[in-house]
Amino acid sequence: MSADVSGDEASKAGRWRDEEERGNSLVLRITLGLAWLAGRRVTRALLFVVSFYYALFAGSARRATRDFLRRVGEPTGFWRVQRQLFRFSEVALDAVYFLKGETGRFEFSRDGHEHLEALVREGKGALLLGGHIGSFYAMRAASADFEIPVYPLVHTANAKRINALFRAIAPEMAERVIEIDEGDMRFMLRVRELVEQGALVALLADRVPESGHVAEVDFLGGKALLPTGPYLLASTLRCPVFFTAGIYRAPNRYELHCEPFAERVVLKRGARQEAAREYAARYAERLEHYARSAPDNWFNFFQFWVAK
Amino acid sequence: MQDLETRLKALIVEALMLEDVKPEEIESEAPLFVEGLGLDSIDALELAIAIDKEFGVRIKPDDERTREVFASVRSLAAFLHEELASARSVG
Repeated sequence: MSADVSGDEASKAGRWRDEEERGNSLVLRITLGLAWLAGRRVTRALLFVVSFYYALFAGSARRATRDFLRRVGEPTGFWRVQRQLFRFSEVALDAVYFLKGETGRFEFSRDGHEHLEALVREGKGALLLGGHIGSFYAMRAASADFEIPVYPLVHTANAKRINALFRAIAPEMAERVIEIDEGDMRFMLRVRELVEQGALVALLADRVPESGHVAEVDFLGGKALLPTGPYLLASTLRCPVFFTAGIYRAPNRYELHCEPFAERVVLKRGARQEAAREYAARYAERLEHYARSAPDNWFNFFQFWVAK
Repeated sequence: MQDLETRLKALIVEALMLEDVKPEEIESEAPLFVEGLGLDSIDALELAIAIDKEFGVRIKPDDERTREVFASVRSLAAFLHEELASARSVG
């Protein structure tokens, strides 16, 4: 009986995902159309209105954002929350231009770019750790004058979304997306081959997987759960790790940061979990640094902290 | 084949640092990943690297067989048997 219920619910959840998928692809097409036909200024104005409604009606995103803002000492009023959502939509819109290679309309400042250049020059592979802060796609702009072979490693749900975006604007990029599929270990062997061949595999290290390795770490005055998988992976691959963030400064500037995170991730035998937790804590410390430096770039719109 | 399975079980315990599992406790046909031993994709990678070192056999991502290779000790042993045999016939 209980199996029937859960089966039913699973198929219901499946339908919801399909609905969401359809909805997303419609929104994607409309946004793309606008980005081309109406241009960035008009589309931004429209996104301003959309984020106004979103701030009004998306209660859980609003509450989660207020919690974050309080922790970084920002005002938490309605318009401040709206701005957070607006920034998120602006960064999503700009991703379209980045993927098209239309970087001329933006200003970029770079900090630590020499690390990426050195890796490419020496043909050394590495892991790049990002987060839901600023723009993941601004990295693409970073490779405008330097072909940097970045391969995003993403969970299935995100893979669908990113693939749809890539296929629509930059089909050659779609082949680079590596989907995490615990039912088929081949993706992991592909990661290994790529890193051995000198590719940079990028992953977002601030969202915990449905099942897998996690650790509780200090973050902005509370406790948050972070994945430790990235550090287990880095230790297995024996490759260097970098922290990256593409911070958006409205109206049209991006700061691209790349910091050495670990030359080698070493997890001591017998104390692997604790050692991996320490790396996650170090990641949290860097994420906190950028969250404080650019609070309006924080794009985790769900309850990020562990309730006490 | 039997011998390969025994060596693989020892290698799994050693490479994945399984502290509470003895090699002889691993069943040859039991699923290794998700269910069974509960290993994940990072363990699979660690195991692939260990197999490479121990047997000189590289498990390739674009090989169709790779999808099924990690199912159990038995499937891994069968794959290794095949690879080692073809390496011998070439060499």
